[in-house]
Amino acid sequence: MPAAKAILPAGDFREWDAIEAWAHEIAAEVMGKVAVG
Amino acid sequence: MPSVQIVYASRHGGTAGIADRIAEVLRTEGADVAVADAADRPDAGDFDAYVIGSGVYIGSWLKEGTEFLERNQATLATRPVWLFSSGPLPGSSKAADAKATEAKDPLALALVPRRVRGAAVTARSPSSARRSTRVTTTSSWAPSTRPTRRSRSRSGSSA
Repeated sequence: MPAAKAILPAGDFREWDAIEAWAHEIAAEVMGKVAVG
Repeated sequence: MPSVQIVYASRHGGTAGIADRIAEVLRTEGADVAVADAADRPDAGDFDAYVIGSGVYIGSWLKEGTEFLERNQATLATRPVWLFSSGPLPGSSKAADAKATEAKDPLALALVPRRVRGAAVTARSPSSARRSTRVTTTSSWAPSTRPTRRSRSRSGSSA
């Protein structure tokens, strides 16, 4: 999408804190499941 | 050590970066993690859990992402699955807002019309409950241009 790229603000807008928090939740469930099972 | 496959559909690398970060966290926590690009048509194999994400363009998942879900429907129906979407948040662009109002939920748009919904998102039995937690993030792009005719067609057929 070259036209879109030209008018969009540059930068990284990913919410890393939220992503990492979510990943930790997944890890807790995955590891917990194994420990129980 | 539990094994986790992370599959992403990414056009410009933003969603791939999210997948990599999730993989880092899971490895730190002790999981055995494999990361795959949906464009390479990976097989779901035999992992203990799956994390699958896609960039969202004009309100829809990338085709590679939904195709992975469809191809591996049988396997994903029996494992925990987490899904995430990467795309513009409400307010990030007028075009995205207009589409969001029309589409309601990009993930639903991507999955509801397809048989995948029953396999990957909706739990069929209490013993194999799947997660459908979704992290919606902004990335370094946003579809702020008017959708092309093809995009309109794709979005329209998914609604």
